[in-house]
Amino acid sequence: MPRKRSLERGNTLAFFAFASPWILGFVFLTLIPMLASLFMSFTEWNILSPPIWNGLDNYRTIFTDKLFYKSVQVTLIYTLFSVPLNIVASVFVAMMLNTNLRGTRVFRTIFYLPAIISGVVIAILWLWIYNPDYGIINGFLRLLGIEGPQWIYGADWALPSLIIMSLWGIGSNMVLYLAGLQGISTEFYEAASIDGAGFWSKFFNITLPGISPVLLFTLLTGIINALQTFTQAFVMTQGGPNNATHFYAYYIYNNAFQWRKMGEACAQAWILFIIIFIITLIALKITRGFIHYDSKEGGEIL
Amino acid sequence: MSGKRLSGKPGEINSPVQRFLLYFALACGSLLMIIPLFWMFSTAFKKPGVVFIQPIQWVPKEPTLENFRRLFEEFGFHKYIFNSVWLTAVNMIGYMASCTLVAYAFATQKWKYKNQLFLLVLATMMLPKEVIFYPRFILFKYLGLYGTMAPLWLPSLFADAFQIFLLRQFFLGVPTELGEAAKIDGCSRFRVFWNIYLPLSKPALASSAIYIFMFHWNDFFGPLIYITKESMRTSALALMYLKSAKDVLSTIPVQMCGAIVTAIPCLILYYFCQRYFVAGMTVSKGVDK
Repeated sequence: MPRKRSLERGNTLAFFAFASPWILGFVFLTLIPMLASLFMSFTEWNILSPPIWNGLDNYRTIFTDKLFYKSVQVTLIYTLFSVPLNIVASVFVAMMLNTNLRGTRVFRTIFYLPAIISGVVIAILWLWIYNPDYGIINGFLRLLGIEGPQWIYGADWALPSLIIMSLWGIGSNMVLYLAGLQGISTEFYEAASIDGAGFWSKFFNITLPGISPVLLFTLLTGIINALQTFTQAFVMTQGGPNNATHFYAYYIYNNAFQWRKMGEACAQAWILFIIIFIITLIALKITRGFIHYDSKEGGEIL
Repeated sequence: MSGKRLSGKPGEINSPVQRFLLYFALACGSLLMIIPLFWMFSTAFKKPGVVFIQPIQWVPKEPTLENFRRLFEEFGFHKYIFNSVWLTAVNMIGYMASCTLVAYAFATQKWKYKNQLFLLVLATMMLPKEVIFYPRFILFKYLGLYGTMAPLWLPSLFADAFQIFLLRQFFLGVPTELGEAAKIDGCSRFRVFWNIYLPLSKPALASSAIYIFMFHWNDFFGPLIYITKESMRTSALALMYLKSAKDVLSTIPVQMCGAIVTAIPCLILYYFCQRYFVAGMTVSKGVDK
């Protein structure tokens, strides 16, 4: 009995020894800072002098702030369009590449290339591609005799421009879908063909359920990333023109580092956290029942 | 799009018309993907004034290396590249060491509430970076580390949830008998980890290393917040400042040179390690369950 207990204690000690980097990191780099920021969100703090408790003032300011609602609106519109468009386009391309055509490897590499490049490089590149006077898009339109829009420099076009630009990165989702498609057993398709199922019937009854776990994963990560869009707004548009691209994450950054309102920034970060949490829950709830896991894969996490 | 009657297998295309349409669609899509990159490369070799000529010169008539010379001599870009290399390397070493250890703990070691704790690890992946970053900034500021490189590499010693998840999945696939046998022979737990688990997990380690490389090489937000001195900028950050140089229009080709120099290591890595890029991402599909 004592031997067994000491063995168990030895096991537990070993577990904690190996897991200690994450445990320490979680406590000191995640938990404590998060609690601190929750506290800061109830204070007025300019980073330089000590924080002053002001209760719910920050939240009151935020919820009466027009720019706050504008930035929520901009961020939600961007998410609502860029995420579904991205998923549809990348499923489409993945299906075209999951064929017996020659050269699909080359096409796959080409479609994946932009996904390898970093956010800042993409932002700088597209900043000039969208240039109304010298950019290649308007240059091309001019050849056709059309005077193109102002793109990121026009209040109406700025947000759509960033949504279009996000489609350039479909490669990262595409390779995931491609892997998912290749994991679907061909027997399903053969059986469906014998039963006389057409293309769309197979698509909705075999293909989509087959890649549904990947779809859910890309949907969630897509939403979470889109809600935190920052680099494009910071590098390309500085939130303009006329706040048309004033993304939420950009607003938080400005509050924290430009305007030295760290307390308000912390409150905004927590509001974002709650928004993301709610949207994730809704997405999980809506998709429940539509997600099909192979018995082999399902619930394998633990 | 795919074969309707002739065959049952998905994506088996036999009719020439379908094949032509598919190639056409793929070629159009590829052009859209490639043209911006092509413009980036061609602009980098243009003389400054040539950028404004309409219609666009796709292949510069008088290619020049002058822009690259300016990038390094005038803007000192090699310093920033060096900073990026250094920072990425430290992060890779730190994360690889910490993540493999923690993943090994969750995959092989025993504790009653291990699985509950692992759910907490997974939960931290869902935290938006804003909720972590601003509080951490406060912490590092209090520790007096603001304005140094430390906040950009210190977290690597404390592991990352996503990498723990990927490596743990892989370690779980290693037959437990191997570890047990070694233990009977008197191997310590660390020796089992070092001599059995790590050598058997090379593909997973490669995927992890690549993921960490890509993330830290391209990281923008971290350096933007913590780096205060010009000499400490990383290449991604320096690129942003290149854009805000005074005579922005005349430096377009130099900016494209900077973009190329920043992107090239990632492209080279992709060229040589393609299968590890995809491998790491396929494992990730099991994350949300």
